[in-house]
Amino acid sequence: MKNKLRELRAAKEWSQADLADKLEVSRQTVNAIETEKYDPSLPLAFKVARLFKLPIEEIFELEKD
Amino acid sequence: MNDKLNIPEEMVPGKNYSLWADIKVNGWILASWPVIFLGDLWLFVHENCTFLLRVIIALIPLAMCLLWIRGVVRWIRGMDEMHRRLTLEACLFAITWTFFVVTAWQHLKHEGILDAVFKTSHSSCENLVLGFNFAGLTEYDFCYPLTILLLFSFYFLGFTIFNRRYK
Repeated sequence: MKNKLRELRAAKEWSQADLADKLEVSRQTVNAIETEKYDPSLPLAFKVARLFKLPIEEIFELEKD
Repeated sequence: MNDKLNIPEEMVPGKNYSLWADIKVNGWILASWPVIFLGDLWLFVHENCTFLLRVIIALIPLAMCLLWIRGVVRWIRGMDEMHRRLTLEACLFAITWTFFVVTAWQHLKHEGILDAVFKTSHSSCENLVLGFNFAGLTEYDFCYPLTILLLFSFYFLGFTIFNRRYK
């Protein structure tokens, strides 16, 4: 799954640790999501969307096979 | 909030290793090892003690093992979702492989295959320079401490494999 988390975080000038604090996850988890090595759960995806005040589908996009 | 999250690296030797966290999670299992030894010693010395007391003393280490599992579950619950998934994958890997090795060993032993491999006169293992007693090893059954040691080894192996996926 593709995502725009890194761009959105950079726009806010937050570090990965800042974002991790706001999402109540570890910095490693933020890094794994940004590098698209880990797909977040639905509750975490909603948390991200709420934090950036954007719809989920604008942040996360399912890749076509 | 972030500081309170448990991370799997707390239990793995490295820069994030925490002795305190390790003792909190694995303390019961570590304590159960000397308890097994002392229990065996006590039962050996007190051969005439009651049946009930023998059962209780023999089962104390297993009760400690249950407390250890409770500690591990609490530790995993204190992680965020990615670390929880990673740890559960490593735990499943460890449990599966430990089960496989222990049952395979017992099955091979029961079928006499271990003896056929290690005890035959033309076995190439007989004159090993290192002098391991392979023939004696085939008599061995997996005891509780060795099984736990195997479980830990497979956990570290599994953690190393699955951790790569998320880095």
